[in-house]
Amino acid sequence: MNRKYQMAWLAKATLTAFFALVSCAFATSFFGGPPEIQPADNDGEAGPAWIAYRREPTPQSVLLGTSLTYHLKEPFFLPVSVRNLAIPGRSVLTALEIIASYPKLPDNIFVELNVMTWRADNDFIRKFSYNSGAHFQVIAPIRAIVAYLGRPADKVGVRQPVDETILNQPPAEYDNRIYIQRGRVAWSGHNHDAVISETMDAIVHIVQKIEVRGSRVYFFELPLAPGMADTDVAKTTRAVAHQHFSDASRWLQFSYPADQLRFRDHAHLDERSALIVAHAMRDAMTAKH
Amino acid sequence: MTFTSWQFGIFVTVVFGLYYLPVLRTFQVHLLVLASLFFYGYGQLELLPMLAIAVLGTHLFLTLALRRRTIWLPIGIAFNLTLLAFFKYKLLFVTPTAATLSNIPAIDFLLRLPLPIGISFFVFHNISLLVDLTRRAEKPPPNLTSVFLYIIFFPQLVSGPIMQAANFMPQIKPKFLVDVEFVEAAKWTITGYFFKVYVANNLNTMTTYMDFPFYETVQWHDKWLLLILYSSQIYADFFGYSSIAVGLGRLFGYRLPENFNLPYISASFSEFWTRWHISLSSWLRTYLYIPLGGNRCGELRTYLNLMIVMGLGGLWHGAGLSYLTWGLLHGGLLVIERPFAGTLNAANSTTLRAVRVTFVFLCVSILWIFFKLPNFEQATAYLSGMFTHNNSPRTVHLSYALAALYTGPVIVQHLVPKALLARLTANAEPYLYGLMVALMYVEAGPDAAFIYFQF
Repeated sequence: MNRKYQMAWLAKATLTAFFALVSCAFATSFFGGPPEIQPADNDGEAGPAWIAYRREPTPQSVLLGTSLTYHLKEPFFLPVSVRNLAIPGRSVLTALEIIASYPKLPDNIFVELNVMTWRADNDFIRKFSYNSGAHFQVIAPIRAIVAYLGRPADKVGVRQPVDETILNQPPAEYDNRIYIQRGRVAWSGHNHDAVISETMDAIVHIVQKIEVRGSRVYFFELPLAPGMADTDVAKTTRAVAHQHFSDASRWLQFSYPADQLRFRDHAHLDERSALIVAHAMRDAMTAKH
Repeated sequence: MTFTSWQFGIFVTVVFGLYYLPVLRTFQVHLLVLASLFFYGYGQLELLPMLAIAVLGTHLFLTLALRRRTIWLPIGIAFNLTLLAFFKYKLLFVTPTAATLSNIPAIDFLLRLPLPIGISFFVFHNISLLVDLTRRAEKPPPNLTSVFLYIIFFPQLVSGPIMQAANFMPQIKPKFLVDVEFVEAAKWTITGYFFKVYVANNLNTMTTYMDFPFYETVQWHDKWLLLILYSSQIYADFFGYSSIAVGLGRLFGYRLPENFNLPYISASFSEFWTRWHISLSSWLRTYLYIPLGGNRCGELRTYLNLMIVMGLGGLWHGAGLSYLTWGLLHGGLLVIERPFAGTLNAANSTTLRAVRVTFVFLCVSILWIFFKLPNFEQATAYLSGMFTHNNSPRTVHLSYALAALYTGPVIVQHLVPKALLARLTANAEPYLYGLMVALMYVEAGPDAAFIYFQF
């Protein structure tokens, strides 16, 4: 293969790659940013919500938490407007760090304190923080097309009416015994105590930084499946949380008919139960405004 | 340092720049050895001495075996197998994180060392070196630097391809920039990165649902889909790695063997093993199957040999019942098909070939479950879940569109005939590779380690 052919080949490939990337960058600026990427499954990823958070005006109220909070869909809180930024599978500290990186903060930040056994996810923080390189993300054409074609009806920012008639239906019955059994095993003992304490210390620190800037941070605890609330980890988490944030006015006090709640596993509410809890939370949140 | 990190990009650029400097031409081999040591030690500094012991020990035994093969060759092989067995299988007997182990500090230190990355590969290189060079009675033995380069050449150090010494050693000679096949190197490297970053890493986000306990939330038909996705992922991951290695090898003037040849169009299990991880199959055939007698000692002995080779091949991947089962089941399939192979191969029917290809692909894919889920109970639970309705209150639905788009390159590569693909893309080749570069940048999946790094 002669040298001239090789150089021509490499030049063509390089220029093609360059122009393709420039086209994606132009498309990004034309559409106003990368699309809200549809996750590979419907169990939910927090990415789209955080992309929307970066792109849209800062909301007045946000919910931060884990997958427990993730299932409380934003329309459940209507007419109260709240942006759910819960991140399944990651510490709430992750979300707090990202929020704190923005120059403008929401007025009210509601923070779930059920699960403290994870440390902050620095990769996620880097990806979605205000000063992250994600600002320069370019459109991924394949994902953009799939995201457009498969956009979910209740995508971020679109307020679909909620079918509240499900509240008139009887609660569903699930066989979630195996999940509760595993959950109890996972949450027994005191292996997580150190992480819980460290995480809570870090939350105290970051809440102070946030509140200095004028926002108000409130906390809440979501119900767990029967048998989980009395596990070692749940009890330790609750005790440490109330020890660090002992002011009762910081906590959302809300009640719900516990016998009406159903869990798909050891911790996650089904849709009807999530609606019941969201309504109860909505009233408590309104009282805090 | 992984192939997909920016540090690796800088590393290769610097080494390449120095490598072809005329003033350093005499030291090219030394430079590659130093670069490879840096590459290996970058992630696991504490294991560099172990790597050095393996190479120095092998060189010593090689020198001795060239004088008296019958004694020193088996000892040299045993030395290497002991290293492999110690690091790979110690976890069956000890828990390195335990507070107390043997109470002997030196032994405890060794027991607590992590599994050296690529040990399975460089031990096989060592054995190949010992067998090949003493078989040819080469005298004098190759110098230590050449031995080092053969064993630790960084493109192939971590996950192969496992190159036989007889094919590598003759390539050690001065290299010139004018001889570099830049286009070939670029094609291999771009293809490799594209398959890793675009296909494998994106599919990895979906096949996470094969892990415990997530697979319990997947419906039976999606379990089948995940299986096909994982088949594509593991191929794209390993083919990607091997292609990058081949491309890098070309940049430095070395021709590493191709490790894959469209394995999922195999019409038989024996054909599959001539197309999948070719360098391992070839190594096992040369250094294990044939010395065991191969197919020269009657049918029953042939079957036994196949089972032994595939069982050990399974255990080579890891110490666990799942890997052993995977190997033995492949051995079993090879044994079962062997009496019918002649008849089936003689039939000249496209339909029959399509049926056979589908059957082999499904069987191979099902057996990948034991790779994905090394816990045997979880693997069998996943397998049974593929045939039963899932009553779990938690279910997920996969994005079929993304599944199709991410597996697309693997499907196109396997199903579109090579000649047709070459004809269609003849004039557009550099543009297509350029688009692949752009696509792998903007559509890259979340970074994930190469699957074969764990072996």
